[in-house]
Amino acid sequence: MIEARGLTKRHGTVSAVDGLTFEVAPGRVTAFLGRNGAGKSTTMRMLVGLDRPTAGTARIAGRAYEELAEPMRTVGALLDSSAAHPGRTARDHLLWLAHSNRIGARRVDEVLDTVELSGAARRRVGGFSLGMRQRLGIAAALLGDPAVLLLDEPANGLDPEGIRWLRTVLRSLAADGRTVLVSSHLMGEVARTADHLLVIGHGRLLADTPLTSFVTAHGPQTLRVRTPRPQALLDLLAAEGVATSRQPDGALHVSGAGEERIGGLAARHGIPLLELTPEEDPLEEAFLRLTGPAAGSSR
Amino acid sequence: MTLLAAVHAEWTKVRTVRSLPVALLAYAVVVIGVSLGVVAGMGAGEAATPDYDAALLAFYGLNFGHVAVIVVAVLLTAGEYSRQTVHPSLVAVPRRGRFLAAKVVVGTALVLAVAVPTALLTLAGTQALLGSAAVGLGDPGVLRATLAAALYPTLLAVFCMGVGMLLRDQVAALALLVPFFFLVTPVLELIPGLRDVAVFLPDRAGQVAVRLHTRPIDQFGPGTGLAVLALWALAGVLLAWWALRRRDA
Repeated sequence: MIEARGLTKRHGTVSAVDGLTFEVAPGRVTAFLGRNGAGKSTTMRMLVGLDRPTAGTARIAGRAYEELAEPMRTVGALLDSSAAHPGRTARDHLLWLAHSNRIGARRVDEVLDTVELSGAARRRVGGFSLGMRQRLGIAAALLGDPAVLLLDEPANGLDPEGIRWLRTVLRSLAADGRTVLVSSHLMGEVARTADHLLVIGHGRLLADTPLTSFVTAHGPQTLRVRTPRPQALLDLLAAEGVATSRQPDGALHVSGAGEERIGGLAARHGIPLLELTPEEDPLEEAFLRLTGPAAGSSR
Repeated sequence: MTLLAAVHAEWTKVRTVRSLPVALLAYAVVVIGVSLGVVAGMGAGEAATPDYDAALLAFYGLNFGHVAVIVVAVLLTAGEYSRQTVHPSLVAVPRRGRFLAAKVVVGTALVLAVAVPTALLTLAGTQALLGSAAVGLGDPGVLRATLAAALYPTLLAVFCMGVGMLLRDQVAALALLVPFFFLVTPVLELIPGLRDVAVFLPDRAGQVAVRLHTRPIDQFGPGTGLAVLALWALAGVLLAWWALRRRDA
């Protein structure tokens, strides 16, 4: 369980995070969304005590991060700003982390195996690809077998296979009953991985909602329809008072009516439909609408 | 108990990169090498002069060893910021005081562990070159000067760790500390009006303890000299602690 209460970070007169209050529940993957500069990373950094809040509190498992005696056993964090010394081997990087929280060396080899880096364990991090560094960061987060995971853009630098692997890892961590908070800008990934969304803009909470209701509430209203008899459908929808427009590729854009209504109308009039889909990626559309120029940061 | 874990982690960090062991080795090589070279070149002539100070000449290499000590201290502290490894470090050990304490413990122990044998080897090597003018640990003040030749760079390292933590930038810390202790303080001591103040600077105060004979310009003896340096070291660490607690990482 992660709790933020009125969490605020001001740099001079600029608020990076402005009175954020939320809870992240265990047993599901919560995606933390916001445009660049919306305050995601700053919030993550305040959760683990790297940045001092100007006001408000952040608690993990009921305590401030600094009060956790061996924090890595409770919280695993991957931060965008973290780095491993390029001259150190992957295994040695995890080893000093393990020592700092009295975690055994055997666990180091276990997490290296989990992130599929065992083969590169004794290579220097300086020669690692971005994806390998990211896997090493995830290994570090998993080191203390924590009940809470905070991952800032964990998919960065991963190849498609790595992204699929990450999705499986995140889902199984949540299935174990852990609290998983993941910031991401890859909406397709979020749609396939997250159960719950926290959306912020300008450092303020815009939405704290299950993924499905978020898309319903803010998702696109335009449907893309393809049919072998476009003129018949156009006439029918015009008669029903539904706004339509014809696209250069022959498809129709229909707004103001849902899939059920259009599908039903077409069926009753014997017009075959080849495609009936939301016009854009629904989560991305919903996100862009909610965090649009008025709400989101312009940075 | 968890301070011990933090110390263990710092020790693992030190032994798993090349730069720190290399800098420590460089310290020993430079101090011993320069001292031997100077004594071999001008030891006999110097020993015949009336104001000859056997310890001052024997440990002449310390003046150059400064640089390695500063590098060790800066790598341990500002180096974490320059490489951004400070974030995982503080996530692993979020108590800032404990993090700093572990660093200071490990850094002090490392420098001391190298400085003591270096001082003993330097003394043995240089005196072997001097024949009849040689002094030994049994001679008055020589044991004290030799211990000071180990404690002085160690305390200087502690002070520099504080400065490194405060500046949080490897290049800035080196650019400030190396010229300051290598060039500025020795020159300040030569300027009559500033001399009385300059002797209280960390390295100058520490060096008083490495001399066998107190000079007329020195305002204090060897014990006080080391105490002045220790105060600088303490002030540096306390200032770093204060800043570390207040600032965002």
